[in-house]
Amino acid sequence: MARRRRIRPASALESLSPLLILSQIVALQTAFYAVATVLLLFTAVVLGVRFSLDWPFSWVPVNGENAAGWTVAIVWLANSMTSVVAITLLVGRTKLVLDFALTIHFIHLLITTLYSRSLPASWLWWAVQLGSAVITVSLATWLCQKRELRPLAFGGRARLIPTGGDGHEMVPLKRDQEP
Amino acid sequence: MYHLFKGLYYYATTKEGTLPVCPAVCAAAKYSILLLGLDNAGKTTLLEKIKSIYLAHAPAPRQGAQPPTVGQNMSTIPLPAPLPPIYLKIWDIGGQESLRNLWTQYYTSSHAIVFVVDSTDKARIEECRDVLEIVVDAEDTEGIPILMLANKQDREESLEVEEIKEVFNKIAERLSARDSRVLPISALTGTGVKESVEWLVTRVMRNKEYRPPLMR
Repeated sequence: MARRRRIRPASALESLSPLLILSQIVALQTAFYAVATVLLLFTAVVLGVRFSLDWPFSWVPVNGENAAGWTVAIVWLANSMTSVVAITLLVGRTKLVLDFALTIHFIHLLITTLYSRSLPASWLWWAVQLGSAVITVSLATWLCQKRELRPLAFGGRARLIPTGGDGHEMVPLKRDQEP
Repeated sequence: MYHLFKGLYYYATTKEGTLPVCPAVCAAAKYSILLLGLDNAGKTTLLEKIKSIYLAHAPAPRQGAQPPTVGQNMSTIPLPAPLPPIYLKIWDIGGQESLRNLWTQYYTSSHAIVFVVDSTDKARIEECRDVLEIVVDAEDTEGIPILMLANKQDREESLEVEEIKEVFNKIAERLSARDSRVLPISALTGTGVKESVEWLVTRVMRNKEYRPPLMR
């Protein structure tokens, strides 16, 4: 059966460029793990425990049976701020926040499952993921909205009162209306 | 990930020709060119000729006489060469006396004016000059390049460019401060058409500080 080829607006294709989205996902995931590793390393030093790669990549350390497990869980929740900042800076579009935030957690689930060779069986791990996802989605959406609604700045710095001289002034352009 | 797969699906199911050739970063500049002149000067024929030269799949220009234009014809001509790409949006507006009042509506959004003169119509050359004078004196056309085309040079009885220049000399003196030129062309055979378009491109680009193009 011949596939139906459709005409789509170029703008849709530009903003959905797979290469761009893929590189954004890779960058977000790298930032997610990099900051998490630093935070967990710090926690390990403070607790006086030996650090291993299990900490960032396995779900086993996140268990609700001892204090260390709860500490790691808190660190993971704190790490959701990394995703918030990274999404706001790298993606910056409110409508895409939900997708990117859930993608980070989905990929983390995949990597954890592969690393530990079993699906996460700790209820705390799932709770942490849920909490982290909620924090990331809500905060990043809010921040991106703020960023998108920011007043436009012309010539570098936003000027509240238009002054004369070399500054740019807002003038209604007649030529914007096409004949 | 949803948008990643959506994007992949879009790319897989979209016609090749409609894929964006140029990313959003290099937006194309669009300049509007006005074709003005008396009725029967050859504006529509000129537009048809430009289309047949610059558009790959343009239909062949209509043979014989064009019927008078009521309203306007518009074509967007992509120019290949320089990066970033340029588009000329050419407006061909009816030149009959009753339609000339409409011209003023186009002045503010145009980047250059092409005034087409019928070189064979000696009887109306004075009227032609008066009309051009009105166009030039309009407030909204100030500072934009004006190209005068002495059309129908393929005809034997056509006036020489020098003769036409003489008629327009008075106006030309006032135009001296801005870009203007008289070129002989034949819209029917196509002689001089390419040169005219090239002249327009260099002038609108030189003038883009004063009249910035539409970006899209």
